[in-house]
Amino acid sequence: MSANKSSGMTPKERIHAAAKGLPADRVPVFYWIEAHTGCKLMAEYMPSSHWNRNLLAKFFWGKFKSGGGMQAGEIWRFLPLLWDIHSYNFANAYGIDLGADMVLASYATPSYSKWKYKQGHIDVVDIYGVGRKIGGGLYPDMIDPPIKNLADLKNFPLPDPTRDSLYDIFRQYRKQYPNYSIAAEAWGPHDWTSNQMIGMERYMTWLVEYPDELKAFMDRFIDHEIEIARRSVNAGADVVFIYDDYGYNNRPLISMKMWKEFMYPRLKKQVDAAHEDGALVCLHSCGYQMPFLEHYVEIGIDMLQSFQPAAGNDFKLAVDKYGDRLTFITGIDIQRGEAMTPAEFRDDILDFYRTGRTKNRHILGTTHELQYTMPDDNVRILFETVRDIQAGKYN
Amino acid sequence: MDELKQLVIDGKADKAVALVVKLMDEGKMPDAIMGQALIPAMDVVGKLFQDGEYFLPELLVAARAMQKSVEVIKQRSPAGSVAKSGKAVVGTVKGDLHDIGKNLLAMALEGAGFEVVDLGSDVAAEQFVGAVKEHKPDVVGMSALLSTTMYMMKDVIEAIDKAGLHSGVKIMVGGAPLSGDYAKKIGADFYGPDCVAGRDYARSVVAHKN
Repeated sequence: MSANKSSGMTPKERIHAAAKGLPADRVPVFYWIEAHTGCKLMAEYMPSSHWNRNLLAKFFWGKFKSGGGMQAGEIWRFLPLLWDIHSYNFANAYGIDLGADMVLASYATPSYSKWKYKQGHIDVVDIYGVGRKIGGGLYPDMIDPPIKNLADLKNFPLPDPTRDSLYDIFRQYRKQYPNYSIAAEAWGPHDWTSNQMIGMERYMTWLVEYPDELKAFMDRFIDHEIEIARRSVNAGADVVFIYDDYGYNNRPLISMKMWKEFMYPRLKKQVDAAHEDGALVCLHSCGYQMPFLEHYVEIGIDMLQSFQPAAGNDFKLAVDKYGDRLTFITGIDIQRGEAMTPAEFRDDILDFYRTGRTKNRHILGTTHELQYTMPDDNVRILFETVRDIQAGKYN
Repeated sequence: MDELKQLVIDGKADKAVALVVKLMDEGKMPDAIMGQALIPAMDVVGKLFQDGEYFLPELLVAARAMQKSVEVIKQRSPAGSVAKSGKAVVGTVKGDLHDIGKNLLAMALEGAGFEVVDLGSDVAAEQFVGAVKEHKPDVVGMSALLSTTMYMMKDVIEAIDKAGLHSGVKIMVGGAPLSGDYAKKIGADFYGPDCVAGRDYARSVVAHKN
């Protein structure tokens, strides 16, 4: 299935070594792949280890591509996504075929209800009560946040975390990938609350106008996410992957004062709970991260993903200052990489690799989900470069 | 006027509205309230944002105080009596349902006295073209949050070019995955790293026309 089995450490051991700053036999790798991109790669780059997935991928990608990508009809825009939702995140699992050491999975897959077909797209409601549109873009975008006023904020019932079937994916993955790291999604205090449950604008104004009410909701929400993470770990995950986007281009979304007041204590509670459960913690946070790094170290976060250079993050400086206390999952710059020549892209990945290896805490990973818009030659050079690194060519 | 300006800067919408009502009852003209309090207030807010003292929450509450104040002025004034400093069409491109960037730009432009035609999110190229034909704006502002959807901006610009409309309107683009280089490559006239930069560019377009 991959080159990992012939190496000295298992993929899981490799991830855990990097997360703890211990020497590994080589740099671990993490690929995060968007559904349409997964179809494209299986169809045009390398088949997956599942023949049936390859057939579907080829069909879906062919229709999407011949329809002009985003110009393709809604049905071809949403089918790969639907497939990903209902097939245990096939695109991320395919990363293992490509040589990744860790796979990311969502606990609530599949869990949409109230399906309604509407003129080429599907409206659904997720387990949090968030109304979503599948087929508008490439993602199941939020179109109707369930919390609209302060009464909702106080009384909104969070989904039942005890439903055992929510965690089937981790049991299946642990059985299928016994020696790999399995990362389980959970949400931090900010991102899901703002973008999905309340709506960004309303949430931002409530931070100023109703701080106590918002904090009370966040406390409730974090306890819920801790329970989700605990059950995900019990079902087979060994990494809790907390999503919380704190940054924008070259600046935080909210002031550091506000972040420390609202996010810091709740994120710390989540991290402490995951550690008590024996899991590692990876924080996914988009955008500018530099002012947060010292706090992530204090909180005890093991790994930070995605650390995007395009948002103004300085990897050399970060590794220099925090590289012995925080593991960075980054180095395959899928944002800027799209505009690079293949040779530039290879050199960029190698530059990150060489910077990261000055300390033990680096996992070579995509700076977000790999997108289908990455030029074909860059896709080839990306995987070729990483394979060469894994094979020791650049040691 | 100074008090109203400060209330908007502080994002105190209810108090700002009450003061606008009082000022209008006292005979203050809408243009004076706009020009001496509301627009200067949003200029200060924009500066605080660019200087890193204000962030999205503070920007949004200030913009809302401004919007509510303007609504009251409109309600209490004869139609068309409030002068507009320019006209803008804004939208998030096809396939992208994220509207926070576009909304921030709309607020910033309204705060600068622009009439804003908001096309919403998931807007197709032909809708942008139709809006430019219909409203004849000074600027078109496009936003995208996703690296996959930013490519749709090129289609919009090409459609505006093809319709022969680009000579009469400036096109500005913004959003997390964009860069100045990319904006130049697709034929945009301006790339704004944030809504305040977009507002300032729109102002400069109108000033240049006048």
